[in-house]
Amino acid sequence: MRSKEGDDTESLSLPVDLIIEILTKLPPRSLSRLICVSKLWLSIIHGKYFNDWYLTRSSTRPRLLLHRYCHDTRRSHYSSLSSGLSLGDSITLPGCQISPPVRGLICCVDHDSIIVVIGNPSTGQFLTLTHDAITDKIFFGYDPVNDLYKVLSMNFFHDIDGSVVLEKSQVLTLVGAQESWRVIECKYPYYPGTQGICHNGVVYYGAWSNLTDRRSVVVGFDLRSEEFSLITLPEDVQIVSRFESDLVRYNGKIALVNVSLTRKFDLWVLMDVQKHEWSKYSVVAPTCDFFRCRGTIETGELIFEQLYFGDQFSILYYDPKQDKARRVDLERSGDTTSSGRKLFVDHVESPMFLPRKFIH
Amino acid sequence: MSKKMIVLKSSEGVSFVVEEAVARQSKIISFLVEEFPDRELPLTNMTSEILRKTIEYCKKHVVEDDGGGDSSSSSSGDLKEWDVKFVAEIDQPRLMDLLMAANYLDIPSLLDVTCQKVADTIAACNDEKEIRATFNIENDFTEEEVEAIRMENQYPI
Repeated sequence: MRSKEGDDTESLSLPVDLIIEILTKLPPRSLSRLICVSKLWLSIIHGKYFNDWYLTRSSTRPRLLLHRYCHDTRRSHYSSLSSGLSLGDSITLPGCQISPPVRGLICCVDHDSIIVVIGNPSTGQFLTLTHDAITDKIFFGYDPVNDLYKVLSMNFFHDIDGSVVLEKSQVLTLVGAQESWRVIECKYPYYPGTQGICHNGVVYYGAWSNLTDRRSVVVGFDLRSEEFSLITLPEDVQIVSRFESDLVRYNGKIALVNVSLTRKFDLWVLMDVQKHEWSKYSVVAPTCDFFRCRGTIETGELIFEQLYFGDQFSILYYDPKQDKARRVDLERSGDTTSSGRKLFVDHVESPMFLPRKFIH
Repeated sequence: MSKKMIVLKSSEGVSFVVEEAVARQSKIISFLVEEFPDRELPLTNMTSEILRKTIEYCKKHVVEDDGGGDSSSSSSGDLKEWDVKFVAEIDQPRLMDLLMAANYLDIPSLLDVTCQKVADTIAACNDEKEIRATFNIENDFTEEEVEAIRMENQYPI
C-alpha cells in the first residue's frame, strides 16, 4: 500500500473486480462517458462479463418502460420508470412500432416500416439496421444458449380475396460477423395480432390463421433453431384485435389478456407449452376507469395502464394476494405531442454498448 | 458475562484489542477466529489508520445489528445515514485504502458503501480528464485512439 506521505501515484491500482464493483454502481448514461478514461476501463465497460454482471444487478430492481410515440416528429420517447416516477427524463429514438424490451434493449420499426432500429433506452445509443424489405411485424429476442440477439421481420400482403398472406420472414442475428438478413421458412405464416414476448429463447406471439375466419393461435419462434411452433388456444379464447389483446408475462409464464371494459380481467396462462395447456386466472382490478393489463412484475403485482388519459396518466400496481392496490399518477409534463403510448414491464437498465460491427 | 476479545495487529505492529463480535463482521476474521482461536491476527497489509477506521465501522454496525427488533426500521435508516457521513469524512486516497481493506477482510456492507462513494465521485467528475486526475489513472490512449473511440461510440439523441 501507499507510503504515509501520500504518494498517490498508485491510488487506483485497484484489482479489476473492484473497478467492476464500482462501475456497476453507475447509471448506464454515465458509463458511456467513461470509456475514454483508459484502455482498461474501455475493455471493462464494453466487456461481456461486465454487461452480464450489470444486468444481474439491474434485474434486482426491475423497471417499467413507457414508450410514447410522437406522430409529428415520428420519433419515440422512452422513460424508464422506477419508484421515482417522472416522465421528464426521457430518451428519444427513431421508430414507431416497438417490441417489448429484451435485457434492456428494444427493437423498433419506423413509421414507413422500412427502417429497423435496435436501441438501448438506458444509454440513448441506437443502431439502424439496413433492410431491403418492408417490415410489417417485428419481433426481438435473446437466445441465452448461444448468447445471441435476433430480430425477426415479417412482411405481408393483401391477396385479391382479402386474405393476408405472408410474403417473407427474415431473421437478423446481431453478431460481429458479416451477418445479413436471412430469409427463413415460416411453417405457420399467420398474421401476428399481439406483441412478441421473449421467454427462455422463444418469442411467442398471438396470431390469426387468416383474417377471414380469424382462428386465434399462439405462435412460438425458437431463436436457436429458428423454427416455428403452434400452440392452440382454449375454445372460445380469441385474440380480438391488436389493440385489445396482448401477450404478457404472468409470474414467469406467458399469458393472453384482453382489454376489459369492466373491472374483470381474464388472463389465460400458458401452463404447459408442449401440451398446450392453458389455465384461466380472473382478477378484478380495483379501478373504475379503462385500464389495460400489462402483466406481473417481480413482486407478483399486476400492472395496469390507463387506456385513455387527459392531463394525467395512471399506472396501477395491484397485489392480488393481499388485495392491495396503489395507483401512480404521472404528470404529462411537456408531453403534449405523443400520439401513441405503451407500457412495458420487465425492463432493466443495461449498459450494453451496440458495436457498429453489428451492422454491415 | 465478559465479552470475548481478539487482537488484530496492523502493518506497523500496533495491536488493536477488539470484541470478537465486532471483528466477526469480517468474514475472513470470522474464519481465522474459528481456525486459530486465541491467536493474535496479523494484518500485514493494513495500516493502523485504516484498521482503526475499519474497526470503527464494524463497531457501529455490530451495535446496530444487536439492537433487536424494537427499532429496526428507524435504526437501519440511521445506520445508512451514519455510513454516508462516515465515508464522506474520508479523503480520496484513504477511501481507496478502506475500499481495499473491506475487500481484503471481506466486509460486504463496507465494500458496498465505499464503492458507492467512489462511484458518486466518478459521477461528479465533469470529464475523463478530471476522473484521471482524481484517481491518478494514466491516460494510455493516443489522441487518434480517443477520436476513433468517440466516432465509434456516438450516442446521438
